[in-house]
Amino acid sequence: MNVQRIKATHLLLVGLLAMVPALADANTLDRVRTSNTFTLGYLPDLAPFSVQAGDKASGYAIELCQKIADSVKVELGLPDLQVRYQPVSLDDAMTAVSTGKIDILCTPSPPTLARRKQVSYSVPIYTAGLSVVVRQEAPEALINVLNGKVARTGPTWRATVNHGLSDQTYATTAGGITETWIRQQMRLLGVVANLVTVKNTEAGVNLVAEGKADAFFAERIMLSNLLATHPSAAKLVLLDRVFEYSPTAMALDRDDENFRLLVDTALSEMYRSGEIEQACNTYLGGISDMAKKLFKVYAVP
Amino acid sequence: MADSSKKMSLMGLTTLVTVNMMGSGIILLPTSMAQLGAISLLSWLVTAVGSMAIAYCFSQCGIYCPRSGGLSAYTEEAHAKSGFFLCSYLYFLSLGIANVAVAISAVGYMTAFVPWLGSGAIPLFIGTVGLLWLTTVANFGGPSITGRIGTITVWGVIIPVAGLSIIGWYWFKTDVLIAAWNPNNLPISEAISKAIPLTLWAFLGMESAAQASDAVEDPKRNVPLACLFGTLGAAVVYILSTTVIQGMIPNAELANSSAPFALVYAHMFNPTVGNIVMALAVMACVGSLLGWQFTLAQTAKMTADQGMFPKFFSRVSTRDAPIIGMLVCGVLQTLMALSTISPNASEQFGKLVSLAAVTNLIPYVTAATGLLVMMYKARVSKGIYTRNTSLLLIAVAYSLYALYACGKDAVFGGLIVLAFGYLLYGFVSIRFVDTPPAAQSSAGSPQL
Repeated sequence: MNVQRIKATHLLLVGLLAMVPALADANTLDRVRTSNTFTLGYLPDLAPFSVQAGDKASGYAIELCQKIADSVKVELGLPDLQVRYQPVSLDDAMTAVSTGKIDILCTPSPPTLARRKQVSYSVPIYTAGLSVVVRQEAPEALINVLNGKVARTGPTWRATVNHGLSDQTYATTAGGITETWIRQQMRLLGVVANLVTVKNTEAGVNLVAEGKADAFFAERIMLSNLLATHPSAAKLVLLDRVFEYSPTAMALDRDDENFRLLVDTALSEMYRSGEIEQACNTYLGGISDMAKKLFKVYAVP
Repeated sequence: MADSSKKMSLMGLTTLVTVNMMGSGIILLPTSMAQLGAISLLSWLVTAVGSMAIAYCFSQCGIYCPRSGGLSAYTEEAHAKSGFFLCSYLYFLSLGIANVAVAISAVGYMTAFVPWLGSGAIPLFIGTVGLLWLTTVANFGGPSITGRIGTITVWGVIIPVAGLSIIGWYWFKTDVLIAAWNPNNLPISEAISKAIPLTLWAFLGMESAAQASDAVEDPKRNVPLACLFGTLGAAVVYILSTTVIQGMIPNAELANSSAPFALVYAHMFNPTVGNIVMALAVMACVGSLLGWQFTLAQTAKMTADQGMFPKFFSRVSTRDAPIIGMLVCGVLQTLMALSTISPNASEQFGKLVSLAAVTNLIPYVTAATGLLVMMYKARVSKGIYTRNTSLLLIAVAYSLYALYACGKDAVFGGLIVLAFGYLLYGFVSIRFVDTPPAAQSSAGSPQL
C-alpha cells in the first residue's frame, strides 16, 4: 500500500520535473523573439563587474552583455529589441538562468562542475585571481609567507623569536575553493593560523582594517576596487601576488547550443577586435601580459 | 681555589646543559615537525648522531685540556692566542644576542597568562628587560645558587616534556602516527631535506658545560660527563617526546597549535592541566635563560682572566659571581631589547639572532680541531687517535653543514663580525709581546 503511494508520488514528481524544461522554454532566441525583450541578469553589487544604476546597470560584464545584445538584434533582425536589466541574488542566480527568468547572467562566475549540472557557460570573459589584503604594518614574516617565500630564512634554534607567525587570523569569503587552498598552504609554509570566513569582500576587508584578521583572501580586482574607496585604504595593502587563477564566464541556458554559439561568436569577435581589452582598461584598470595571452586562448577561432 | 661547596655538582651541570639546549626551542618544535608530518622524525637520525659526535669531541677536549677557558682554551691548543680571543669574542656575542631573543620568546609565551604583556610594543619591551634583569640578578648568588635554581626550573622540562616521553605512550595510537606520516605527500628525499633544518640547530648549547668549567666541582671529570650526558638526555627527550606526541594528537590539529605540549596534556587530562603544563614550560624557558646569563658572564670572566677582555669582567664577589661583568652584560642586553619597540628594529634583530647561530658554530670548529693537537701532546695510542679523529671529522662535518645551512645572510654577517674581531685582537695582542720593542727603537733607529 505504502509502496504504491510512494510510487505515485514519484510519478507525480517525475512528471513535474519533466515539465520544468518545457516551462523554461528550450529556445532562448525564440523566447526573446516572442517577447521582444532580452533580459540581462546580473549581481547588483559586484563592482567593477556589474553594479546597479537605477533600472539599468553598468560595469565590465554589462558592457560585454550589451555587445551580445547587439548581436542578438542583428541575428534576429529585431532592431527595436528591448534590453531589460534584471538584478538577481547570488543564491538564485543559477536558477534564474535555468528557468529562463533571465536570458544570460552577465556577472561572470567560475564554471564549476556543480553549476554545469544546472546551466551552461560562454567562453571565459575574465580570469579571476586570488589575492590577499594585509595591514601596512604587517610583520615581514607574514608578507614573506604570503609572497610564497619561507617565513624566515636562517637557522631555527633556541633563540629564534617566533611570535611573528603564531596565532594569526586569516579570513576568506565563506565556501568555495579558497578555504581548502589556504589550509593546505598554511601547513606547507609553516604558519599557525586560525581561519575565519566572512560573508562578502567588504566584511573581510573591514576585519583586516579593524585588526581582527591579519590577512583577507579574495578576488584581486574586487579587492582593489573596494580599496579604492574604502575609508581605511591607507592602512591596507593589496599584495601583488596572485595565488590561483580561475577563468570565469557568463552562465546561460544549458540546452541551447544555438544561443551559446551566438554568445561565443560575439565574445570571440570582441576578443579579436580589441573591444574586450578596451573594456578591461575602462573598468578593470588595465590588463596584465598574462591576461592578454589568455585572450588568445579564450577566443574561439 | 674557592671552596667547593659554592661550585656546581655533576647533576647540576648536566641539567644546566639539557635545559640550556632546549631553551624556548622545544615549546613549538612539535608543531613545526607536524606541519611537515611524522616523516620529519627521521631527521633526528642525522642531527642526534652529529650532535653526539660534537659532544663527544668536547668531552675528550675536557679530558686532555682541564685548564679553564672552555671552548676558547680548546681552540688555543691548535689556533694559538688569537684563536682563544676570537672564539671567546664570537661566543660572547652569540650568547649576548641569543639571550635577549630567548627573553622575548619567553615573554611571548607568558602573554597567555599575563595578557597585558601582549598588548603592545612597550609591554613587550618592559617584560623582556624585566626578565633579563631578573635572570641577571638571580645569578648574583654565585654558581651554587644558579645550579640550585636550575634544579627547580628543570622540572618545567621534566614534567611536560620528559614526562610526556614516558606516560604519553599509554595514549599513543600507531594509526594516528601512520596517518600523520606524510600528510603533504612529499617525496621522501624532499621531506627529509625539509625536516633537517627543524632539528639541525636544536642541540646548540651542548658546550655550556665546558664554558662553566671554572664554576664546577672536579671539572676534569664532571665537564666531559655533563657534556655527554646532557646532550644524550636532550636527544632522548627530544626524540621520544616529538614521536609520542605525533601518535597522540591528529596531525591537522597538532600542525596548527601554538602550544602543542599544553594541547597534548589537555587531551590526556583536561585544559587546566594543559595550562599548568604551559606555565611549567615557560618556567623552564626562564630557567634556561638564567643558565645562559650565567654562561655569558662565565665566558667573559674566563676571557678577562686571560687578559683579553676588559678586567672588570673577571672581578668576582665573595660568592664567586662576576657581578660587575653581569651588570655590564645586562646593560648591553637592555639596549638590544630596545629593538622590540619598533617592527622594523625587530626585523633587524631577527637577522642578528641568525647571525648569533653562526658565531656559535664557528667556535665549534675551532675548539674541536684543538683535539688533534691535544692528542699529539698527550701521545695517545693509535687506537684512541683513530677513534677520536673519525668522530672529530663527523663533528666538524656536521658543524660545517649547520653553518652552511644558516644561509647566505647569516653567514655573511658572521664573516663581517669575524673579520672585525681580528681588528680587536690586534689591540689585545700587544699585551702578549714578550720583549717590549721600546728599548731598541730609542737606541738607534734611523731617522726618516
